[in-house]
Amino acid sequence: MGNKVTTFTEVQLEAYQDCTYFTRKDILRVFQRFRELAPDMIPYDMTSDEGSRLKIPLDKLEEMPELKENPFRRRICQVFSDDGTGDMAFEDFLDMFSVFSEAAPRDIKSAYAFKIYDYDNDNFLGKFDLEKTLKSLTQDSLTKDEVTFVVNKVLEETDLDDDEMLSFIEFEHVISRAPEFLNTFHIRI
Amino acid sequence: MDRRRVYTYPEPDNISGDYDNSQDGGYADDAAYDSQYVGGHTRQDSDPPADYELGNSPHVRSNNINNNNNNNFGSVVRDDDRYQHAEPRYNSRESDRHVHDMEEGGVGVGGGGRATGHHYERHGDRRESAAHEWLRHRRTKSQHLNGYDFYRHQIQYHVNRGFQHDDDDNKDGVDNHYNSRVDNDDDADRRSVQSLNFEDLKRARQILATVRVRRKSRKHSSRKRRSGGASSDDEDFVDDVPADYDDDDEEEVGLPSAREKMKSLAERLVLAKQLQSAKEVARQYRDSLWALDHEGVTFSSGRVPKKLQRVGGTFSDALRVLNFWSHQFKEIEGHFGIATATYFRFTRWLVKINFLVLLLFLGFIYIPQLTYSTIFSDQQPDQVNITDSSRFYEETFKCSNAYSDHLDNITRKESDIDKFLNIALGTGFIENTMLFYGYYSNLSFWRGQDPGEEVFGSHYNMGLAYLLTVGASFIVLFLLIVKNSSNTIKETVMDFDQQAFPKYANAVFGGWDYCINSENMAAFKQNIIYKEFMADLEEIKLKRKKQNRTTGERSKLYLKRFGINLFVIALLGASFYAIFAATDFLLEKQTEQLSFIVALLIQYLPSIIISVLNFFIPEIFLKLAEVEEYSNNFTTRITIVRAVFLRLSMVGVLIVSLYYQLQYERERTSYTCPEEENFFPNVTRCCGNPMWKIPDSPTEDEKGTVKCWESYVGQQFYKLAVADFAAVTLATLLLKLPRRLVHSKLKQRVRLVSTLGLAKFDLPLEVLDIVYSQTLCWVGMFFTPLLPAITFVKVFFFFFLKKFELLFVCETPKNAYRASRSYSFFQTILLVSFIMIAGLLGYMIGNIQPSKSCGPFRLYSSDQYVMFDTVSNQVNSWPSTPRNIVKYFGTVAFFLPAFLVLLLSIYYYWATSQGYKKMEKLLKLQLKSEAYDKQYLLARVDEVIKKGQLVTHDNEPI
Repeated sequence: MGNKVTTFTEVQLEAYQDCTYFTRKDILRVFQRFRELAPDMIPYDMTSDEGSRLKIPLDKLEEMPELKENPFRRRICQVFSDDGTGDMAFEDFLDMFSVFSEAAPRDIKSAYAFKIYDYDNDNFLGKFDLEKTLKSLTQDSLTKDEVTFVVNKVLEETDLDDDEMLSFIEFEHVISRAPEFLNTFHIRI
Repeated sequence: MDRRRVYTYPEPDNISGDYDNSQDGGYADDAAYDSQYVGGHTRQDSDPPADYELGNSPHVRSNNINNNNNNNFGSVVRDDDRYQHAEPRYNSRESDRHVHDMEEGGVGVGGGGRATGHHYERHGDRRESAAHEWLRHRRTKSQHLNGYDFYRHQIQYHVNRGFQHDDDDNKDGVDNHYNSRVDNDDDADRRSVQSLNFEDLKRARQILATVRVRRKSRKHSSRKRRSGGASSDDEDFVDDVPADYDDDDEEEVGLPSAREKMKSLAERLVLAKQLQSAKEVARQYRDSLWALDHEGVTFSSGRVPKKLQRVGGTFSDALRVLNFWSHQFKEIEGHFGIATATYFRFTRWLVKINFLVLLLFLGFIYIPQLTYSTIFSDQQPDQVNITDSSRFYEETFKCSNAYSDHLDNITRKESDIDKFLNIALGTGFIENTMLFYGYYSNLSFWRGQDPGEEVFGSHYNMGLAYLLTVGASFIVLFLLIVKNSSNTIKETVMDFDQQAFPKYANAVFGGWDYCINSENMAAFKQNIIYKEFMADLEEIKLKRKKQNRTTGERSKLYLKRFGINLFVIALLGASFYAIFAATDFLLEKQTEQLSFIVALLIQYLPSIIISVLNFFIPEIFLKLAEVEEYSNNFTTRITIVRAVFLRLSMVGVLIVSLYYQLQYERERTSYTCPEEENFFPNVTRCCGNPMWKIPDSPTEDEKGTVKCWESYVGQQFYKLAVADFAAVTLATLLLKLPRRLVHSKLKQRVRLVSTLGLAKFDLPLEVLDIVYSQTLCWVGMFFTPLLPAITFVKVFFFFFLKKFELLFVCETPKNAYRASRSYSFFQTILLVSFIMIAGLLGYMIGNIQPSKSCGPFRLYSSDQYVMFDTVSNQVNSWPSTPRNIVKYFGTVAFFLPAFLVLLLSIYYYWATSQGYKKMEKLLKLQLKSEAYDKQYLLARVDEVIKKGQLVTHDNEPI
């Protein structure tokens, strides 16, 4: 319990609580997980700006069991890391699990999902993005024709304005009709 | 990359009237969210060479974006700092910046979920003047720009003019329209612009879309701000917003909220800190005011909600206890994904509701009865406790004595083996415990000091308590089930709305299960997704094949399906008959003296038959469905539906056969119990038990008689529950586990073993198992009051048993069941079976006469006494006013209007839903027409380019 007091200040904890979907206990648990990834880099004492300063590199994050098997792990890290490189400070890390927590509402989840699937960062899910997503999903086992077919089908279903790509609005529209999404876009910590 | 360029707005007056002016000045602002047009080019002068290559290859591009971030913008926090320093020098820029800050800030914190509106307001106050300034400026100008002209001019303006406007560079950097990654946007757009200028028309579309989105997002946030804390001056502008603004609304609905929330945690933290300090200042100010003047100061305090929040937080922390076993779930989800975890979620939910019912029973049935029987067991051996000395009392007294004599007789003769047998069967000494209905007394007493004195509350009407507790449990259960299934019902509805269901998009965007953390499962899941896509492709082929079927083939197929359905019905019929025959046989054989094993077998015959049928018939159904050539989905579905039908109707058949034997017989024999005439001259209807038999001689075994039919029914369900428990456990431990062991030892050597493979964890059938055990609990609850406790233990145990089975024994589930769909399907089954059971019990309580020899309803109050009369008698004993009120609820005068109101409200909801459907269609159309607008614009851009009006910064036409 002594640990609890020294890791974060009261103010910090409150701020974290205000800004995430976590309770105090959850935050400390997330911190435990974060520290486990690089015990030599992360001190127990996070009372000053360590939460945003000390970063764990991408390759270590990718090794984390929650992400290790995820085909989108790199994208996830990049999207949530503050500078886009994939290296994450504790606050990024906390933010990530907050978004993936059960309590996060659909629109937040879908906004981040959009970012994750948007491989080329152009704020649209074009054919390129969709193909990459599909390939990650199926371990590249679909043939090229099949990929094209599925991508076209997806566009057919979702692309309302026929511009051959999905804007965020269209994405959100389709996500709201995809019951699976809320269930699956979720990581337990 | 210097972000602090001097940028001054034109005076609002300058742009108010005249179009050209507004083009010159006003655009710079409203359209400056497209400063990428500008930025892209101006940057060529000022930026490092790396940036210049942005337009060329996607890879270089994205690298650059990252570099940019690294080098320049690390985080917005740092930007803020820089602005702090820059403040004195860049005044107008700073005010603009504040506006943006506010735009993003207030809501950005809101995105954190807890931070609330008051944050926003405070924030707003501080920066109001800046916001106001900015707004005025923006609005005035935007009046002039409508529709397509707006776009055309905008683009033209930018392309022509942008290059001269160095100042605009990066202005947009702060504008962060999409999220915290400001700079990605900028760069992305910037390069789009480059492409526009040089070759790629495709990019132009993109820009247009961005333009539009940005315009809207700004407009939206400004509106928000307006409503949030705008001064009266701002209100003037509200009316001035051009009408065409309103028709885009639906596009905005989802977007800004998400966007605003998508600030990184770091930014939100900074904002939170700022807000805190702002609040602090405000509080001090307020306190000083307070000291000055106690009246007349009203303020919306930001403190109380905070406190409330904390309380709420503690409360929700406490509620988290309900989410027990979360690490179990993590393990399961990690290994098998969400869909499988729903099974366990469902199980956990059943544990919860069983516990709730258990508590109710504990409080109102078990404990009072326990108190009664411990205190008064010596004084009231007959468990009848009646002050009334009517004819009914006498009958009850006699019947009760006869029943307890009968039980005593049996118990006395019991050997140890018999005792064991009796535990398994619920007969003998077990029958005379709290396990069964018959044991409960009709009235519990807490007497006052004197034996004759009755103080208020000294009665505990057990019959009433029994009925009300069961009733209350059913109501609570009903509410819980409905609540739980209403969460999923929306999804089900969406699911069944096949036309609108985006199958492929769902598979792509919702396909990956982010919970998975086991390597095997990850590969497996990828394989499943692959297979699903393949199956879809197959299905398309199948559909084509279907269309190409000749009439002959088609009729052959239909004939086949018809035959199979007939076979299924025959199979079901045979199963039902088997159960019926077994119960009949059981009653017959009960009279005979049999050896231990045979007796056990016979007693358990119906349960065994049910278990065996449950085990094999679904497999047969599965094989049959494959022959029928339905589509994949439908095959699974029809198998499940058939299995459900089998499972639930078995319970139904059992109930019917019990009813037939215990009640219908009585009707046939017209209420005479000839043997008893001498024994109980006054007692009609054999103490309410038509199977009541009097032994010819005292030595003869009395086994064949049913002296308390409720307990008898209870025994049947008790046996079923026990058999179900045993069957599931044994199947896991004795069938599936050895199979696993054999498989792992011999799969390389013996071919048969490897082809047989491991036991499969078939999700729907497993769920069916657990729904079945729950159904048994509900049916038997009335007759076996301890059944909720048993089921609670059972479900609890199943959770871990099944987890063990899943982790160590079974093969991973082969089929990719949709999590949401299966969950709602289980709920539906549960609800249906629940309603059927509630109906059955209701019928029984209102129509069938209870035994006079046992149970809380043993004392009749009239010849036509049914259990529900306990309630009516109670109501009748009330003073007239409450009695009349209660009675009023039973009259037509109440029922008819209530029925009408219900009908009306149903109609209302139906009409609303229709309205929503229509609205949805319209909105969709609108989205489409918006898109076409965009395309129209594109054509215009094309035109413009062709006319050569686009010039490069060298003023040369392209």
